[in-house]
Amino acid sequence: MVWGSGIAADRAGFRGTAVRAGPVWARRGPDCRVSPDLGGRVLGAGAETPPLASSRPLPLGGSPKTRPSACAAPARGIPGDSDWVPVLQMTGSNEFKLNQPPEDGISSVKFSPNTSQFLLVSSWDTSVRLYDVPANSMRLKYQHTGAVLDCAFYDPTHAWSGGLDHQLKMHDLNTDQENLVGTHDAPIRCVEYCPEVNVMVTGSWDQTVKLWDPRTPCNAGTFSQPEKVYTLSVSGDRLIVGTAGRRVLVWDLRNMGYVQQRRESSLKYQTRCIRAFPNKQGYVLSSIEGRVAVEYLDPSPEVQKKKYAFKCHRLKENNIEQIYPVNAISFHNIHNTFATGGSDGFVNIWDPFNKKRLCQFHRYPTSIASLAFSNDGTTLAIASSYMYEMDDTEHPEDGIFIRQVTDAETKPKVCTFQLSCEGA
Amino acid sequence: MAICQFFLQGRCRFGDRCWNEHPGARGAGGGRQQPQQQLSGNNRRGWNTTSQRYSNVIQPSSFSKSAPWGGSRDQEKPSFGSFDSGASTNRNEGFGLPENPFASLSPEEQKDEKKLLEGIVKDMEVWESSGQWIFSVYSPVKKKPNISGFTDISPEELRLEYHNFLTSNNLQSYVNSVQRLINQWRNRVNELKSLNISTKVALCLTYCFFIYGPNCSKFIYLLNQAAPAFGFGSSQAATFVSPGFPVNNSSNDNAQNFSFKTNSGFATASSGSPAVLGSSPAFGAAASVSSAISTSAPAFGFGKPEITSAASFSFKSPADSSFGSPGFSGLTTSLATGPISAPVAPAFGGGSSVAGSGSPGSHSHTAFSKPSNDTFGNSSISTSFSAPSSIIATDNVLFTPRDKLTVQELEQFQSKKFTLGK
Repeated sequence: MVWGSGIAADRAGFRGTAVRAGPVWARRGPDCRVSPDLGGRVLGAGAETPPLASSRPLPLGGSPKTRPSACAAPARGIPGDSDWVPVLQMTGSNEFKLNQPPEDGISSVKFSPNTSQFLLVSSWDTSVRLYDVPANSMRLKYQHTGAVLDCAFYDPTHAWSGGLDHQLKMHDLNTDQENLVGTHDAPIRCVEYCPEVNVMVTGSWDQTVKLWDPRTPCNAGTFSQPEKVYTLSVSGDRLIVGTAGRRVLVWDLRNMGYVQQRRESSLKYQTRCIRAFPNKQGYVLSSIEGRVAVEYLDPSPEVQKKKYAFKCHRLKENNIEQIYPVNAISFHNIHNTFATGGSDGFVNIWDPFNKKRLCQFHRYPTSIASLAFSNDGTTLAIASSYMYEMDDTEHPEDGIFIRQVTDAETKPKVCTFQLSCEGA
Repeated sequence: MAICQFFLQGRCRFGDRCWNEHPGARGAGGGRQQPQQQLSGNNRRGWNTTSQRYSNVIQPSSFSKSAPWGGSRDQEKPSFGSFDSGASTNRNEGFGLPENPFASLSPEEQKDEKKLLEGIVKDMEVWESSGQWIFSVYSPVKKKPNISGFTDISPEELRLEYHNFLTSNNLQSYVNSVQRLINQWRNRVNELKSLNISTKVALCLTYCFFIYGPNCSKFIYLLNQAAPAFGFGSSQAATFVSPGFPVNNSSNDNAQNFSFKTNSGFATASSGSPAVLGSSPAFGAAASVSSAISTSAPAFGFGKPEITSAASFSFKSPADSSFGSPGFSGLTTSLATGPISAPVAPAFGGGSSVAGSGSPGSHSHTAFSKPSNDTFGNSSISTSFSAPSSIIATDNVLFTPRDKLTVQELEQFQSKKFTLGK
């Protein structure tokens, strides 16, 4: 299948993730040294990494050019033998785990805006990585000086990221050039792009939202929020900001002089994530209490009456309900359905119009930190990463799972009964 | 107009036709009075009728626990519970407390009250037992501001703190800080679960505000009642529409309350006089009375590693006690002198002002005064005014919308009025 062109540095003992189909092992060849430089290149492999700007889609089957010749061996190895490294880890019939994941928690995953080939991943190990998904390889990595909390694509060749080092960086993915765009006074929590207004938006714990012009790039304004910004989402030309203290503010990006709408969250606890509907009708808000609310932007009472909330990501153990925060939400662009990921390790896909759950995948090894649908809605990236909700205990490895999703899983159903599909 | 003395005694035989003013009856909601005034029942009922005018927007009880979304095969309509948004039924509500020293209100009102409180208790129980993230604000009525005593800390912030302490090799203090926060949380949860009178009153007052609007004359009446005790002019009280939560003043035993069972012996908020006050933000104080708690954003920092007292939680101390209401100075003296019979309401009226001063040294923590009257008369209050030095900001941390600016508060204040819009 796909030969990873990067070799995982050290996987001493392949600690089990929920692997249904075993990994494909490859023997490390003599001239295929494990490279300490995880720059997406394999030393001695002679493989060429195609330039990023090319939209040549690498078919899932992989093309022979990218295969490091000496390293490949489709033989099944004996796990535990240190010469054998996993090249492709299938965790389901339509799902696999990315190689060379970040070494610490994953904070955010984002697909490229026009293709499902490239995935940007930001992590607590201070790196931002770009993955070639079909090839299952890491193409590029750049560093911050502190953990990176969010990343976003401006266009397919530029990545923006910000984090605990308070710095907002823009990185040209083709030329590998980095650019420090600006700073906040406190860690940057969210980075998003608004295509309609062509502006990058960042939200930070210093209680401000800043806009940035990506062309120059420079700061285009600072707007203070009533509280620390925990999450934000762009909907058309509007910006929805979720802050501490359960507040939600809707701003008009073209006219930031005043807040367009000021609301309190309709959930009773801390807001965890907000994402706007692709059809710009509203947004979905999740809290730490295993609850998700679907709200509408139109302030008129008839529309406001339609909003609702529901419980999810709760498990009953010994008759006591364990409540998990819902950390991640991602919308399917075409169907307007959304996936939620919680700290219970489950990913659910919901149909907001019929108010039903469409699908629940198998349980992932640990909490879901972030979710991203690709632009065309065919692929879902699931970042399963321990979020230290407990303490620094032993936890399963962090990983990014790439799953091909089908219409059955993401499309709203017309018929009355619903299928509940378990991820294979 | 003169205030009708007979009405105050509950025996005005002219009723609405009376030429004198019936405070509270005109445009007032169900009256709530100072607890020590045991008015006769019929009088209260008279007030209650006027509450019929009020259509409230929010039902505290409307957020029933919704059935979870599930893979239900049947196609019932909202297969999961719906939180009704603002458009709830109109119900007349006054506020009543189940067993309360206050005016006994109509059964409906009491039921609502009860539901609100029961809802809170249940939520607290679930919160404790479910392993839910602790560091979160909480509001019993959705769309309304949060209850005091809880701070919002996101998991990433906590992990950042962890990292910071890790690098400074001071993990133990990190652990201590977290423990302290957890204890605070637990205390607060227990308080809410136990629901003593003061808690109830404060809660009801807060949410009553939202139901009735900022001009709820019930409040104004109440404050007017309270005013004399405080030496406020009634006009001042009228503007002083910011019922904060009653202050828990510095009595030592109260301090214990906060520092609570520190099983681990952390330095808890026992420093100084933990007069904590929370005022619900929406109670935007009129500009003249900036009761809202100071401000400064509680940079939730874990403060310096050498944590000795709660103050080190680096909740910024209120550099400005945005407090400068003229009435307050009067308040201190009268507080110190006047015997305050009503443990709660006056506390309520005055409390917010005191509280605003940035409760000395307390965690922004529960601000419920214990029904111990002596605390009020405590002259330490005046001291607390003067020396906000090592004070922890009362709390913005507690109260969601931290309105630093009075203008902003006012805006909020007004916006609430608007939404409740008769």
